[in-house]
Amino acid sequence: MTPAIRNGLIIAWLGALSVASIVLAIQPADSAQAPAAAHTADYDELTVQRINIVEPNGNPRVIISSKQRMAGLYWGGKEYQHPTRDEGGFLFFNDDGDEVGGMIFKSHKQGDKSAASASMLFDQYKQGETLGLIYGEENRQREAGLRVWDQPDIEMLPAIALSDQLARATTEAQRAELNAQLKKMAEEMRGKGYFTERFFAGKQLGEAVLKLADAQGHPRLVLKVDPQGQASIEFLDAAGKTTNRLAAVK
Amino acid sequence: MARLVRGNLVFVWLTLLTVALGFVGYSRAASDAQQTASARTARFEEINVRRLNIVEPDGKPRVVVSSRARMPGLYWGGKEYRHHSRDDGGFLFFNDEGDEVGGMTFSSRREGDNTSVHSGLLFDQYKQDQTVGLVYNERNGQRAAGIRVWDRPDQSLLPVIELSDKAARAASDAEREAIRAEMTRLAQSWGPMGERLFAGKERGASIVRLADGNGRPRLVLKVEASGEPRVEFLDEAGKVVRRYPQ
Repeated sequence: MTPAIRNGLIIAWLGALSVASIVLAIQPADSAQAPAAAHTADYDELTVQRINIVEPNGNPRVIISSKQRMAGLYWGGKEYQHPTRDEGGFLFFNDDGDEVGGMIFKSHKQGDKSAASASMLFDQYKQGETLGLIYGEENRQREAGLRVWDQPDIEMLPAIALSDQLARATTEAQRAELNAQLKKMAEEMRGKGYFTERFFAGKQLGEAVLKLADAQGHPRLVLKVDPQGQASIEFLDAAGKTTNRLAAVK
Repeated sequence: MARLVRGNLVFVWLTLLTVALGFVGYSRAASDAQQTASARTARFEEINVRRLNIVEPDGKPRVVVSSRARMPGLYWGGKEYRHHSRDDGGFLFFNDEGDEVGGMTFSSRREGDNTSVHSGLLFDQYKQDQTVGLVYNERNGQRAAGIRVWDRPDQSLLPVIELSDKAARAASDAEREAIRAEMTRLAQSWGPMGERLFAGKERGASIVRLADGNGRPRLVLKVEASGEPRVEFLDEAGKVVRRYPQ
């Protein structure tokens, strides 16, 4: 290699390297650009299968999702599998990252049979539903209204952990065992006010109803108007027997 | 070897630089590619959007959140029909079949001294119209707010939706009004769809009102703004037939 060729080669190589360095330096990496662009974005229309509104620490605050991509059950910011959830809509979360409610819409049709429901539900702290705006029907038997439940003073985490195991179970034997444990847990909670309906205002199987119940869930004061217009106010005892009744005609 | 390296120190240096630069370039390209692939899930601190569609994998809507300007028409069976009167922003909800089954909307209109305000969260009966809702309305200072429950017929709303689409496309106001009248006639021919329950406040009074299958109030609990509490039983003509306190 003559010195002249050698020098020429070095200069050409240096030149190529310089150009490459400048290109790399000037062209901002997408990865460097992304955080800035991701800071805020502006669209006319956005189409997604799921959107998560999250707190800075990553805990969910609201999830809106298709049925297909619906989240499991978040509790303390951790996601557990949900054994039965099969619906799309909204989920709501509190400051602890617990699921505290949702709004869902379902419909199912098979031949002549159909079922549909929609509800917005708020949960008791560390527990299940305590207030809901609900609509449901099965084969044209309908109810719609506002419902209030008591729930026990028991933290629901053990039940959530069990149902997560149930969702992951691989054998029928495991499922049977976990179902039995969950059933036992529900029985224990039932004695402590689990899903005890205290209030309903709406319509139920054709009747307009306002129903107030005691802590055992027994309706004790019921206002009712049937489709034909028969109206009554009934006071009931714990056994469900009417003790006093007011009506348009005695 | 040592001599060879020493003799070509410049070339060794250049080779090392080339390899280093090549590595930087490659790793950056790779991370960019990864970023593009993960556009399937993306993270933002804030998104401003005129309309957001949450859809099932087959494209059927599940939830739409929209400005008034971009609000969609009426989806039914996953197909979009035009809406003859919708002019609100907010949320629309859809069932597994891609039918619109409710919404939550907020509107306010002001024309001179007249104001008209509405907020509502409504759920529809299957294949029909609204059956339960949390509703607030105000017109020129007259306010109502509460929960309402309605009866709806068993028939599918589809023929009315098709008429609504037709009305939205009408060439003249007269034609649109004629189609709207037809919509009303058709819906009424299906039978009663009255309000069965109201609990809330209306024109200054607190009220719980239960109605019969034709939407006629038959049992009313009421406290007027001035304070008189009343329980009233009414006949189908609206006459009070029994009252407490007597």
